[in-house]
Amino acid sequence: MPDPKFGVIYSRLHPVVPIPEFATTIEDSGYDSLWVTEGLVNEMPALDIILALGAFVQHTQRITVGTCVVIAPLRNPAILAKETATLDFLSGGRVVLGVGVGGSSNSRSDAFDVCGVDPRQRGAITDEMLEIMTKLWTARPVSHQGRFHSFENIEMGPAPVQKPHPPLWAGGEAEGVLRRAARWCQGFVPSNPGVEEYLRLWGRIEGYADRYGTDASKITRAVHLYFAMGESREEARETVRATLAKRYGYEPYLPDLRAILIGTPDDCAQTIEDHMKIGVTHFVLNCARPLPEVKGDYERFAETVLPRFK
Amino acid sequence: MANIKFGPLYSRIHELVGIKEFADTTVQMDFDAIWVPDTLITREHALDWTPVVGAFAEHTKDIMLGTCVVVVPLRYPAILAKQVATIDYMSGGRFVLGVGAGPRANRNLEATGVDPRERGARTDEALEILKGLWSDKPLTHNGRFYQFEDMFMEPKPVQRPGPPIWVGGHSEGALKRTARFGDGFMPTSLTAATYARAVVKIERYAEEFGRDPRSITRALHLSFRMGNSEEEASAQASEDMTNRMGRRVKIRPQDSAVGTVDDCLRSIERFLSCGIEHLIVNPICKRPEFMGQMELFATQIMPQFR
Repeated sequence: MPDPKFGVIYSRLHPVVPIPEFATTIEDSGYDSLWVTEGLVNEMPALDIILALGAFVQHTQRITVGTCVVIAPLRNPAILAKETATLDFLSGGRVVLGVGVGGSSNSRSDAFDVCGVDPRQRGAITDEMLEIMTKLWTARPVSHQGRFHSFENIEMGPAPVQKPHPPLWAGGEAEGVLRRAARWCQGFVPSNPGVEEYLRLWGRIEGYADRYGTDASKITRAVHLYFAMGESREEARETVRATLAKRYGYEPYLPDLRAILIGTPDDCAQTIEDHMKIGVTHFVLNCARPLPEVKGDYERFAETVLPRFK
Repeated sequence: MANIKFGPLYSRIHELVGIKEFADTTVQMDFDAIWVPDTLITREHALDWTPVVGAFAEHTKDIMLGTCVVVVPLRYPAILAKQVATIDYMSGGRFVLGVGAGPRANRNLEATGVDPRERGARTDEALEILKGLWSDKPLTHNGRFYQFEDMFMEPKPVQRPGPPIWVGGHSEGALKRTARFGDGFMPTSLTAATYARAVVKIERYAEEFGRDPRSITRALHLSFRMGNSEEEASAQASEDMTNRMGRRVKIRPQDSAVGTVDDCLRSIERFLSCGIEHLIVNPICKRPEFMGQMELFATQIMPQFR
């Protein structure tokens, strides 16, 4: 089994850690990837996801950089394809585009309202987007007749550096996400499902892959985990709970102490091993503690847990 | 005519000159700004403006950064507002948002599914939304294309009340848009006489919108080609542009700066007599000659206007 990969999320950290400093710290600490999240309106201040990635590309040399996740239905497929291809060019082929459909929290529904997009159509819009982006990256010229977009003989360049195109990762756990993962994506990144639920989700993806004639074994199995180190799992869960409640404005549902990455270095290593046993190879850590403490926690993990898996 | 500002356009040379190298060279040549075009669908492949401006922000400290120009109707206004606020934040308040509605026959509109007849109205409404989302109060908007209540976006741009908006083009719609929303006017490829007439119209429209026309910076996106004579440079630039666009394009001496140093100086002086303070300069040449043309301009033309 190859070494698992570890990445961290830079979410809303810009007031406390500038991008260049964070990029250097994470790359030098031995992480494999760095991710940015989206936040449009009526929530904690967040930078634009494409621009933040653009800056990270300039301040890293080795690691993968990606979105985890971009809210796909709020982007135009041609523009997102072009932005991603440009990031891939500027990074020398280090970009992963994690796509989500947008959750159901208040701020997310505001993001749909401000863009004038009907949230009930978000799955259908995303399906068509993944098809259009894949075509624009791999074929030319491209014609498309769809429900939301139609055009003829469009040729877009530059072609991405990665062939056939930068990996698309499907974020989320909804049935549509699983179907989309099997049909269009090269990676799957659910949030904190726990190993039993992960296995169930993966079984569904394999079923869809059979239906679409795609190869599920080629899909990277990743997981997004809320993360906090602490004296015990219970203590760290309280840190995560309080942080998320403040961040999102409602109580998070965190029943399973092993579905998120919390506790001592031994606790964290155990949770990672549990996930590795079911085939997860890429861990995306989303530190859930007050912003000024986030960078330090990522460094602590790099010192005390990462070396056990490298 | 002292203290005119100059900035080159970083366009379609990414395979020859990387962003950091271009940024360093531009600063070293003493330019005041770097401009990036919006080139979604082009015959000759070009990078997207967003990560490119972001990268320039990371590799420069003092100079202005701008778009020349973003085709506004292709984009969700809220996403554009967030992107511009982010660039302004990351650059420490050095960004100028050059905007346009795009030409009517426009593959970009087709690729993004925008009705060409709506492009002007969509641009105006988007600019309204941008300014509203950058303000300190939650925005409620009731427009033709977008309706929403109490939207608040953070981080805010560093520049208050927002980064300057410079309007490209010189159609009647562009002139009205300049008068209504513009902190600057930045048309492309026109004669000095046309520029002067456009300014008169902007002044009249500004009065109608209750704005002071003196608050609108006059800029120009100027094609140039330095060479042995006006005729030769014009012919070479026309040929190179024709090859690039895949259709016949003429670079005329009267709406560009082509020829010897003296020819170019005279052309630029003609434009500056319209009150232009800022030139976005674009060498029209084969790609390998781009940096050489920029250097000629920086050493032989620019110092005359400083």
